[in-house]
Amino acid sequence: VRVVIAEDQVLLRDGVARMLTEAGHTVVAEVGDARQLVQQVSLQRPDLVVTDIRMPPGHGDDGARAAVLLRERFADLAVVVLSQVVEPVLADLVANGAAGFGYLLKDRVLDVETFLEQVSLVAAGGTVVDPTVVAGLLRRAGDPVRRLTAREVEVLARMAAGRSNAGIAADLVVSRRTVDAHLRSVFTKLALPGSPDDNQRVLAVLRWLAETPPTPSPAGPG
Amino acid sequence: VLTARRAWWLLLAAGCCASVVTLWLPWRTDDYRLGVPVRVLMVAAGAVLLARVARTTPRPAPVLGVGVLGASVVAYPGLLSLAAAEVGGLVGTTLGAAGHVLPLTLVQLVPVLAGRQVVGRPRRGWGLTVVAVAVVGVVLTGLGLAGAPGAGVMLPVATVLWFASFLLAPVVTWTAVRGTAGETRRRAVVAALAALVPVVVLVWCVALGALPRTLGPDASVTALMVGFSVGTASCGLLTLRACGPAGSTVLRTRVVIGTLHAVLGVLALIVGTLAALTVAALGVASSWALLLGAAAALAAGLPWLRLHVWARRVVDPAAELRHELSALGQVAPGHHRQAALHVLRRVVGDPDLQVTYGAPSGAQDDSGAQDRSEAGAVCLARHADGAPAATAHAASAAGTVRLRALGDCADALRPAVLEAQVAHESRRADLAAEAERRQVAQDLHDGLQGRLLGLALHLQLGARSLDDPGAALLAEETVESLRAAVDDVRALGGGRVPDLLAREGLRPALTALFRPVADRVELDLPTEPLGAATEATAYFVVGEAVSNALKHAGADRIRVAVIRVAVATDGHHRVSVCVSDDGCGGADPRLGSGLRGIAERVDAAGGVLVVHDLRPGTAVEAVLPCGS
Repeated sequence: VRVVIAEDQVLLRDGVARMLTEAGHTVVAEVGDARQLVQQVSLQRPDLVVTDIRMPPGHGDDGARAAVLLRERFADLAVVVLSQVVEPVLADLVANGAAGFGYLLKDRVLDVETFLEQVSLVAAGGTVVDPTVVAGLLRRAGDPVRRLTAREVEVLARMAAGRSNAGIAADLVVSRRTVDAHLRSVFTKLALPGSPDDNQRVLAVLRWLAETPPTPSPAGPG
Repeated sequence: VLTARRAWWLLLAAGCCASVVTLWLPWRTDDYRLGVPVRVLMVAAGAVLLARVARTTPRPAPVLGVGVLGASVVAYPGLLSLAAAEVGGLVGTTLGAAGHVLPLTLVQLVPVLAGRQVVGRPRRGWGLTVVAVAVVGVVLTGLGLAGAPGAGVMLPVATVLWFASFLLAPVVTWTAVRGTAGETRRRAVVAALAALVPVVVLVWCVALGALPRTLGPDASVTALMVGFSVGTASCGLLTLRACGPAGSTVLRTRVVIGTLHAVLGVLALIVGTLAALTVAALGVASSWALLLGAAAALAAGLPWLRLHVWARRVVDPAAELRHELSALGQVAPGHHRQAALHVLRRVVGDPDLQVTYGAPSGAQDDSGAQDRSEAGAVCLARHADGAPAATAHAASAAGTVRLRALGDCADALRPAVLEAQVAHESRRADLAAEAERRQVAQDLHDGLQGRLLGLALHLQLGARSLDDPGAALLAEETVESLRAAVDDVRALGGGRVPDLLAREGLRPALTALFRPVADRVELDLPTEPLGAATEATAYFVVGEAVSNALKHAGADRIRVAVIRVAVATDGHHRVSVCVSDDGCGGADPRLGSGLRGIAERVDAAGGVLVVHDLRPGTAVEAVLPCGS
């Protein structure tokens, strides 16, 4: 997989590049700000972008805006956004992107194996969202989410993190049928149409969460 | 060279000479007789005014009016003498009969002009009204006396108009006092007194003249002319003072109040005189009538004695404010603004009154400087540079008028203004500190956190190629430590809740936090959730307190107890967070920034912080409202 890495911290950028290279990916460019990111992506046409959110020149959400821009221009570009903290740009990205999208806290790079798995998943068109982000969104959302049991929230968060049903079952030490039952219950409670495709399900849930106002609302998807 | 000043002196000299000449004219009418002393008194009254005007510069309209008044007063006894001597035939008689019209009209007009000038508000209409009423009165009197058709109606109407016009000037000048403050107010009050004093003096003299019939038939005329002299002279002198230079004795608060009292006293005497007159007219012996009159005067005067407060408030409205503020005695620090607001609301009689405090211009106040120019806002005190220091906003128009009457209250409001300034500065310091903290947080995020992560990542990647299991384990542990440091930095920087606390609650978060010092920290934590906000505060309090104990108190054992307690009084739950240690003690919330930080955090959460100095040891206890 051809990768462009955007991160203003040289030490961290080098580390991520080294990790990805060791895992067999090709790092075609390493950039330190959002403008160069757009330039290099247009030039190199990579398969995947790993970018920080807060970057020069604005030190705001420059990285996230660059990612949104690149997704609009290159529909098949996969993007992994790394963030120091949970930031509200997620809604934009989720609303824009159909597939091949990841949103992770920066610390996750230290869980090397998991991180590499998640990167591969995103490069293959999957969706990965940090459990903390999901938890934050769940807290933010209104009444329907409160009706979820603790177990259902756990299952939902793992699903968002890109785990398959089998993976979730292994994580929680339960059977696959139990996981299926939990997910069905989640979809019923959130009034979402069930879908066989894992990725579609994740997107549906995230979009629903991101677009649901914090106040209790019985609104369905869309 | 004939200057204006010399012209006035010449006029005075000519008037006096003419008057002296007329003293030797024979007095032929028997209806009334004016003795020489009375006529001299009248000339003297006018002469005093003329002399005053001649010495006054500049001479605005009211002063010129006083000059004309003086001249007409000087001329009046001469005209009377000419008429009495039957010199000049009908013209002489008419002049003698109408000689009082000009001075008495001026007595009304001049204070109105003075009030207008002092207050600086256009009241042209009132001056013209006074003149018009006088002219109509005179014309009607003239027509009535000349025997024109309907003379029977004209004379009473003219008399009514004449008397009404005498009430007009005091009313007009007193209303001009409304809404003024400070010296302007005292000047306006003096102008109003200038309108009131002649009326009161004349009425009193008329009453006195009618009282002792035994004094002879001319007593009433004599008394009337004495009143005329005293009234016109006092009117003119007061008017000159009202428009005169600042700092004159007459404009002092005490003097103005004293004059007001004198007028009120004369009013009481008038009541007594009229009572005695009425009783005497009913046929009671004059000694009894006098006694009764004195009693009536006393009866009318007694309530007046109690009007001192009213008089003071009329002349110096801010006095009440000062008095009330000083009556509060020692105001607790931090409550001066509250006290000032309370007293202002009471003094102004507006329970919805608001006071805003402004910083000196130069410093920017965040409450918005534009609001100050709104209608109904009255500046009560200014900074040395002229910027409004205290501005009151009355809810009603009447309140605004009363506020304006307070004038400059800088002295009385100084503690409140200073307090507001301190609060303003402290707010600015807080904002600056907040901005600084945000900057530090951003620097931490952008710099330190990324570097730590990079280090950890490199170490982890490097450790993969290590063959020595001991070294690999060490690298792994170091990576874990770095990861914890990253988490700490994140929590530190944003003042945000650490991940573990947000995800799993207080118990796992604190356990993880103190794992490196687990042998020294004993944790007693609840299993049930306490609500996100309470847990965040408790986490911060415990973290800071334990860190203080370890760093500063040299404690060996630290006990942390977080307990949910039910409070009987309101049925709500509280969370008690107690951190006690066996260190050296001596913690002081005022000194350490750590304890102060805790205190601020607990305060912001609506809780109470108590620090017990046990010596040895310290116990920090925070009682927080429970979120769930």
